[in-house]
Amino acid sequence: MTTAQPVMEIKHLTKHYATGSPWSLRKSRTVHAVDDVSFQLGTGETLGIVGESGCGKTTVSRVILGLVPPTDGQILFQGSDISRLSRRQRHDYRTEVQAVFQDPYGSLNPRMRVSDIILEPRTVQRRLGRREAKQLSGELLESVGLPGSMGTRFPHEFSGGQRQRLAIARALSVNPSVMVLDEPVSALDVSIRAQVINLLMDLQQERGLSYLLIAHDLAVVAHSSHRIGVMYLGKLVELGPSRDVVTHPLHPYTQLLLSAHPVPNPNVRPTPKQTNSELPSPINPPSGCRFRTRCPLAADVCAEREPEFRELEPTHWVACHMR
Amino acid sequence: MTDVEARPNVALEIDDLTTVFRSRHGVVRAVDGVSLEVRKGEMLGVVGESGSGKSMLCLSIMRLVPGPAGRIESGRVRLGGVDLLRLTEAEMRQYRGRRIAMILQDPLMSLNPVYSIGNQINESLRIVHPGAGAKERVQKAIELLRSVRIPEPKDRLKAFPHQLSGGMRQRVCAAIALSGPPELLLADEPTTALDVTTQAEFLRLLRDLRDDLGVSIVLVTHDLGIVAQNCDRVAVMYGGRIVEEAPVRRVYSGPRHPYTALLLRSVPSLETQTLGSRLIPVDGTPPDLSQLPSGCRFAPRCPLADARCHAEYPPITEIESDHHSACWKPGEVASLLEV
Repeated sequence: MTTAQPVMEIKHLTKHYATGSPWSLRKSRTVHAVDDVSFQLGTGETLGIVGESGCGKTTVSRVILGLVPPTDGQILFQGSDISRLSRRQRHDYRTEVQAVFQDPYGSLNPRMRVSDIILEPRTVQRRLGRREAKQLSGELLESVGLPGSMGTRFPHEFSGGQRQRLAIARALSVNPSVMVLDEPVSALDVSIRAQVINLLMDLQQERGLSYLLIAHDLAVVAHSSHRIGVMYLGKLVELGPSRDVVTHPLHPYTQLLLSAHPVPNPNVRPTPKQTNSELPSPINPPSGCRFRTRCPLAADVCAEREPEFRELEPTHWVACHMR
Repeated sequence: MTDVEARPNVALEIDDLTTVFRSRHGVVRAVDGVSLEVRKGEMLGVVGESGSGKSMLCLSIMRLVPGPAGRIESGRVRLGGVDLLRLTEAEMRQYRGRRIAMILQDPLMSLNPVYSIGNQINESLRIVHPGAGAKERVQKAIELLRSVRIPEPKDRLKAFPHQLSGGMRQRVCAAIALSGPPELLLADEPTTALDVTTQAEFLRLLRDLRDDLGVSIVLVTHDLGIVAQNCDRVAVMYGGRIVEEAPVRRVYSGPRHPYTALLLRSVPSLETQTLGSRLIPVDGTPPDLSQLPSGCRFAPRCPLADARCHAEYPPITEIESDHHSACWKPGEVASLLEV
């Protein structure tokens, strides 16, 4: 579980993109993909980030992975700012933080053998001898529940669930401390999802990994995360322990998400809250609270001032004027 | 053409339908002897994983199986007593859009990006109502957009697909599908590309179409939650066959096929007592349709399987009134849920 020392600290992270090509004659506009988002990731913790498409959850993961630079704000890894690392330290950071992406068909090179794929991050550090490589790939495959002898095969010989296991094995090859999991099960068949979720939870137990789990499926996130952060249009609107967020959500947007989630129980009738479902544009987000255009509780103050992100209950944060 | 007396409460009757594909690995039976009925004014859920044959079932009903690799090998698909599979292509065209319509997964793929949505609705209205004048069709298009709850329908006629959100696009597809209006609507994963809140609204629209207009709907999905909350009956598909079929409440309270039972048990839920506990997965992987086991297709993954299950395929039988299952041991399925 969570220890006091956070492995990662995100402070006032902001990422803006410019629309159109830089050479376009049209005036470029700014997309506010992520705006002033702060949170911590504890050692051995799973923090789930949920939200609908366009809420900025994937942008957060890309900035943390160092794939895009932030517009503003800091990311502290074990206390040091990742934008100020030396070349050597940056290299280390990239082995400490690994990623598993959504599409296990697109993320594995079809022309490489499985053992080469899963050991590639390792060979970037140091060339491996043939015997050493064989042993390592066997160990890695077994750690994700695949036969160690499968290293000589090619990705097309594996099913979706097995491919996602390979992607996990590749991430594990450099013994990271943090894994960014961006929709790790949403491309998988329903009967396979539980296998992969369980594998991820077991690996966390064994290795003390910290996970940033990004997904749109609230049940998957609630089930596997210690804490949940809810994002809406580039803002973090609620953050708290999974149980609290699911049983008494504080933000009206979280309530909307929960009420819209289909429950596999025919005795629970759907009770979607009536709202305006149109998502405002991140180019021109609403003034004040960004959710106010869809919010059943919206009042004048919501358009005037942006709500402060505050700790309403111990460890349970929310950004809403009406609370 | 009316070869059998149409049964009064049944909108669509599928009898022993088989659709095959030629592939490099030999002949693949994507739909393998499926029998199913859709009753009037009901929403029937068809649940299955990728490759279970659920989409191919829809395409077979519409007679849109992509040839020449794929073809309907045998069976009957009766709509109001008429066997659609015995119609000529010209006759079948009289049914598509008018009496049966389909909504696909990705609204961006099914709409043409270079025509306004008014234009595209008009296109189907011209086919479905050839007698109507231009003005009449515009009026009808506005009505259709209103019926799928698109705000300011008159202005939206001029909009192009890229100017609308995903949920709005899917409503336009629904409006086009309703231009008949059809007695049967096939919706193949209509909300998979949508966000949860948009999904909830689209599903409410489908429920209203069923309740207000009496349209019979086949809702194809992989999401057990969607079926539970929207459908009247459910058919579970696995490896090209239907393994269980019953009213929704029965299936969720007492599944009689191991696949359904294990699937229900493996889905993470928001119920607080189970949060953070270990999920109980379905072991193994979905079957490869080109190398199907000779016996029950689920046997390699089934904890109840014995020699007979591996050797002989269990026929789908009515084990209680209105509850069908294709399992040799339907009585033992309940034991899977006691863990």
